[in-house]
Amino acid sequence: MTTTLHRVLVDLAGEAPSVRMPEDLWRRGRRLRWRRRAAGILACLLVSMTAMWLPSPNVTGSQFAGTDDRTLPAWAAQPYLWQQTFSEDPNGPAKLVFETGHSLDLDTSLVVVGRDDSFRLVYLDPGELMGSLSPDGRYLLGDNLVDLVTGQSRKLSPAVSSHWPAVWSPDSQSAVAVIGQDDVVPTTGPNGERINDSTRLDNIVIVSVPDGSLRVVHVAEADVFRAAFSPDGTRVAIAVGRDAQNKELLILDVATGAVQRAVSLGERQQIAGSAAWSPDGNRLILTFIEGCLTAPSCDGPTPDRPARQRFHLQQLDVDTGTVTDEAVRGLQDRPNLIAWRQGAPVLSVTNDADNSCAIVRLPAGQSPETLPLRAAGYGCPSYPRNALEQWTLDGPQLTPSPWQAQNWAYVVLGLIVLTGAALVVKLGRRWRRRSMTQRSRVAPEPPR
Amino acid sequence: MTAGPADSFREYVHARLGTLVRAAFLLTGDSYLAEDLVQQTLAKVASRWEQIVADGNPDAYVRRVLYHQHVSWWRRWRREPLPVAAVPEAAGADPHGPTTTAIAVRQALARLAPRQRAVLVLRYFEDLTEAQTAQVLGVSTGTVKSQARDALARLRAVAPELADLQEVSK
Repeated sequence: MTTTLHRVLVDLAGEAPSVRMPEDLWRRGRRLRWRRRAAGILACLLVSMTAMWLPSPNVTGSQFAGTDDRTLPAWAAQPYLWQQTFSEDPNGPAKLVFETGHSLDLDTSLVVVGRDDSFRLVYLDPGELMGSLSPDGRYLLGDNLVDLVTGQSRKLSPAVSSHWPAVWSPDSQSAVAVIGQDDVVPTTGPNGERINDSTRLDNIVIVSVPDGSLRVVHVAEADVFRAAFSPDGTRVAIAVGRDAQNKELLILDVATGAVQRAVSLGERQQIAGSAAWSPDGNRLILTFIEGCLTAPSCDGPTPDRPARQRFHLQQLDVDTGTVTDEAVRGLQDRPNLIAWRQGAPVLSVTNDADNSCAIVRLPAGQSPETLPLRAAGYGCPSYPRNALEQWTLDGPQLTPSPWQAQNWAYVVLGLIVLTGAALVVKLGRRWRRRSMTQRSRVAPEPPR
Repeated sequence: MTAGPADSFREYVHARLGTLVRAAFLLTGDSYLAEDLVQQTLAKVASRWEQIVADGNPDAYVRRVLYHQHVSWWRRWRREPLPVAAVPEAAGADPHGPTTTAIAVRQALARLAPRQRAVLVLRYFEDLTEAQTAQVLGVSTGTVKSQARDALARLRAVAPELADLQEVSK
């Protein structure tokens, strides 16, 4: 130690004037403390807000707007409970949609899977049905007409009945739907007279997508309504009638509503589905129910296991009205013809007993081929018809990204991270305090 | 309530103020700057007083804040003229030499870099070891050694009359 230098420094320090500290030193310190804390909170909020809005990998649909993944997945998993909602970040056009109970909504929710493989939730109102997906996957027509790309929802006036799913034209620019006119609940006046009409005829309308207008093309009882557009979109086949015993198939001119052909349908016959018109435009595919008509109430081998419905397909010659039965008989479950693939019809068949679903292709003269198209959730998923007919199948299984989350989930995550960080800081302070206490045993007091 | 920590803070300031002002005076070379430095240091200390007391060694923390604050001032104002109470006299310009050794040391200290000055004050005024000095300044022991060696060499260069002081070492 340079002892002389020490003595000189002590002498020099002795020249330091005596000073008085201001009385508000403590308050200045407190103000400094609050400013520091406010800055810390502000910084945390800024970081959280930035993290919330920054696009993370595989999160938003917008960054995939230009992708053209033309493969349908073999499986789509359930969404996360905190999955981003469609209204907050539309992700259309859709690759598929399906219903699920796996959401924080108490009712059934709809899952929209975009072409970028993003998942979005649509919370349905109680009793609201999924609606019909347009062939190009851009629109969903239910209680409202929803543009899945922009997220715009147009309320139709008057509203179409979602009880009868709308059927889309091949160009996705119009759809045929029903405006129910029946008074479902019988009402009587003060003298007991009936003041409503449960037999009022329903309006069959064409919904125009560009302007949302409705045009009535036919008026009839629509209790057994089903429809299918011709491949060129100029004609539409509809099944109308009060009940299964009084069912009629009409082929209408879409532009004028003129009935071009009327064919009576039997109790067991029905238009096979929204894609029932064959690609060549000459045939209309019907389903013919075999055996018991009303599955799952049909008697099965045991009381707790009802019999499965059976059916086969028929071909109706549009020009002559003649009906020909297909050779393959005894197909199981409730069918819906949804597309044509490689010249053969593709049907979704639902087992009403357990609500399970399979999508099968029926090549002529061959056994049914089950297609690798499945999704979690209830019943059959809906695929755009164009995708079913043209895209590659058996794509990789799709699982949602947990980062495609609603904003509140980021807030919760931020709070968890902040709590963890605070815990780490607290433990760090405790550790430093302990080490400083140990060091202070050897540190000298400053000179007085 | 804040009465407890506020009182203990005032007691601490009352007990340590002289020591802090003396160290600050050696660091800054100016009584007004020393006063400002101590005030800023103590305001910062007050903002974390409960935590500092809980850590159990306020002196170590206060010392660290004081020296870091001084270096921070220098970094902020090194390109700007510092407000000083009086313009220091140039060492060696007086043909009669400095009247006292203390004046020579004061002038020589003013010519050192702030960290070198801090090392000298910590080592030779506060009697800290190299390890303790390194801990206060947040540098390695090797840095303290080199800074002390350079500081002493520079003292000798700017104030040759201090050569005998520096050569008397432990």
